[in-house]
Amino acid sequence: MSTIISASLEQNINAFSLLFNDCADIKKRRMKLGKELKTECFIAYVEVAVGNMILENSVLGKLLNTLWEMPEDQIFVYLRENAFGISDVTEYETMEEAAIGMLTGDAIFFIDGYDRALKIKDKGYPNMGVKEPQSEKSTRGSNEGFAESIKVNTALIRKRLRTPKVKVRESFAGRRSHTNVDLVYMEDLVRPDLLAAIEQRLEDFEIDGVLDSGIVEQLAEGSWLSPFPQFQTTQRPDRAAMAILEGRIVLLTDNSPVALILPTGYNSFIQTADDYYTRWEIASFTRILRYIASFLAMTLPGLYLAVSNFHTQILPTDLLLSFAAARQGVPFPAVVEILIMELAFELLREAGVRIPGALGNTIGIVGGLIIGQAAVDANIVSPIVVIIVALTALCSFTIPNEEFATAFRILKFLFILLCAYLGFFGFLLSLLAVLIHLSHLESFGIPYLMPFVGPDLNHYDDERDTFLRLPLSWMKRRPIYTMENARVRLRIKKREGKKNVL
Amino acid sequence: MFSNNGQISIRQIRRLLIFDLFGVSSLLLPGMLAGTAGTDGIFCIGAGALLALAYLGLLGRVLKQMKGSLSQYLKEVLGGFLRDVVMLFFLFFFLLLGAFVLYQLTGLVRSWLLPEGSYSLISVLILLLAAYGTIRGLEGRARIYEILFWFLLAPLLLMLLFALRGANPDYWTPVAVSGGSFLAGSLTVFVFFLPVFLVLFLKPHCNKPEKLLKCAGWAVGVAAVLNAVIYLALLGNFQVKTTVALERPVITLMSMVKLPGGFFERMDALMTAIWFFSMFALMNTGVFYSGHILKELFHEKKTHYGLLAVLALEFIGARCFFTYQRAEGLYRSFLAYVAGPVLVALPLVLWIVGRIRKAGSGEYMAESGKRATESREPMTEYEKAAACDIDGKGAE
Repeated sequence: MSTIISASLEQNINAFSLLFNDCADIKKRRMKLGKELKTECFIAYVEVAVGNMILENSVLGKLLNTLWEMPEDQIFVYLRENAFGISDVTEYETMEEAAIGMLTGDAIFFIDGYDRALKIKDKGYPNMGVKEPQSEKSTRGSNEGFAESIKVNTALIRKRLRTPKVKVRESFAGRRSHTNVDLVYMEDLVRPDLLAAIEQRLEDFEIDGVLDSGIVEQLAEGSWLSPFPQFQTTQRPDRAAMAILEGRIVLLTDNSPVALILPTGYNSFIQTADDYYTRWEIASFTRILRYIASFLAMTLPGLYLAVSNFHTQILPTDLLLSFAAARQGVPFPAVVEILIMELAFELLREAGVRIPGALGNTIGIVGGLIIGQAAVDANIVSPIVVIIVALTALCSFTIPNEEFATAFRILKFLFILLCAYLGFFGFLLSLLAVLIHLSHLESFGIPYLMPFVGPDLNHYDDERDTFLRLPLSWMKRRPIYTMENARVRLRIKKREGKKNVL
Repeated sequence: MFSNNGQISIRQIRRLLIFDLFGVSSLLLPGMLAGTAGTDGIFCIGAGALLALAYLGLLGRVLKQMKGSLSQYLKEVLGGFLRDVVMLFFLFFFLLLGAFVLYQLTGLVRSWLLPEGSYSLISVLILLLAAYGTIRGLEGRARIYEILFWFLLAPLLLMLLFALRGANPDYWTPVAVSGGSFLAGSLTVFVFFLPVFLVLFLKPHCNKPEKLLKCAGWAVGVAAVLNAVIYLALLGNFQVKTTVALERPVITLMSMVKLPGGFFERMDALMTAIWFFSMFALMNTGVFYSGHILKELFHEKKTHYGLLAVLALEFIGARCFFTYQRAEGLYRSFLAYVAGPVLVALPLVLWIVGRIRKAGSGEYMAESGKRATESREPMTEYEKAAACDIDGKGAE
């Protein structure tokens, strides 16, 4: 039940104070306005979020200064007619709306005789500001990363796509956190059914608090049992802008520097922002490397077990002998060796993430070099296993998206167990199981393996941005995510009869 | 959403059919053909393929009369009771097909990948995987083989190329004097290509039904060419007698091929993967359609009891093939004397009765016209670029 804001300031103060009883961080101030200081008003704000009230430069300060110098009878007229001329002032009719408005980090302003509350924008909550993304480094392109404030993040996208066709649909998630969730998209490129689907998914759950985009991601996913993410994550505004240009939707969550992109698929996870900034040859080469890496990150330890335990005839005799020599003195079966090393590596990775700053990197070096060497010297594992596990780790780091790489890290253990027990047959079984799973998996109606599967079903036959990133001048059409009548993204203008200037 | 429409594309059907036709045929046909027709076997493959194409022509006439699913068409032409009888025959056929391929697949795994593996464990694991693939429908199955196509075909073609390089052409001759039965050989090949009748089941799911026959024709052609190349490579390397004697000669051949500059000593385990995936396609077809028919016959909607029953029957069937030596011979007799003739006669009967009853005449034409409009070819790149500006305005 909402409490309507009344014209009586006393009633409003009582109701507001009741709402924020025992909230020491909420500052409440009574003041008198007008030339003769006869009009009472009330300001409330979250401490730290709102700056010094009397600062000349703040919107609130300017408004108060104006009201102080104004005759009492003109105050209401001024507020009615001019308040909204002052930048970012929002009017509320209920006490609850006013409270939520204040909790977004702005000041709320009541005045005696006026049955509305005004939210006046101020500096908002403190946040980390724009910084370089930690998990998506690129060799070329912008170094800007998303901040924690949703407003900063939408601005970072708007800065790159300066068109009114970029729309930002605002909603709130979390009954108690009232977290701002924005859907950013290009109006004439996005598929309306996609937009409706994500809006529906956001409405489908009710949770007490949304503290990061990861919570929205997990609740809005179609197949939550799958290890593969169905939203793409990014910390890079340029990547998000690129996705919007492809007709995809970017979902921003307040207090989270990680944006969600939908729909997505295997191919999108393998792409990086600088694939499009560098020449096509090297972009294609690294793209192929990443595809191979994603396969090996999941299969290499299992393949090693299958070959070394079951199908030794595949390998040349010299290599086989060298494997055997390397394993001499190791008391464990190969599968235990692999599991020990994999678990040790996972521990190192986890420790590296949790330990602060430079010490995290040191852990990697200490773990990788010293513990690895010591384990080999102590005959706990053989050198070939260290090589296999290290190669697998390298492959998993090559996958550009952390969430996507995690799926391969988990599935690696399925391969290890089945290959250890069933050899190459186990490998084929696991591979087919993963393939069946991926072929069924969809992200908002788009098959996960698109555009490798079913492109012609959707009148889409462009596969120029998959294993290879062909020259930009050949990539004239937007990907399948785009609305069907808006696929052209590049047209090379031909100048007939004119020679190049240079 | 726009892809989740229960439809599969012509490319997906073509690739799925190629694997359905290629898997078991390439594994079993060379030995059987060498025994039946000797060096003339290569002509039998050609003749068998031609018979399959002629059979497709007959199926095409039925397809023209069909306006919905096969079951609806059967009901329209033959009535409810005979529809159920025919569907029960198909159920029996698919169950036996699935069980036989499962038996072969398990045998392949035990021969080349896991010699000491438990027969039951291997077949149960394969069946579970087939169930997982079946449970989510036709689209997923089609996507698997669409994506696997070149990953399987490219190494196979490469290996065949090297196998042919080592073949002795003298072993391909003499022809037409070996005394083998050309007719029996051709009919054997035709029986292996009989799964093309699947087009009858695939039509309602195909996004361009008017291209279905051509696509099936392509699949027969590709499977025939691959079988012919494999046959030539086998005869050229092993001659007729050894080809007959070997259980799965094509895999033995692959294990002997040396890739120049190659790292691997033997390729048999790796090449077995090709047949594993190919045969899994056909076995999955058996499981999928058995389950599908059971669902239709018993009006099962949300549960998967039908599929569970199919899995149990497939397992028992495969186990029978494994346990009883005579079972394989009986199955071959069933194919030659029951399934083959029925599968050929059925479309003929359906076509004639359909013509008499004018099945689907008016409505079919109307519907096919509608479908043709729906599945109209998209504009070319040039047409679209000309009609659409860079902001996406204008008709595309």
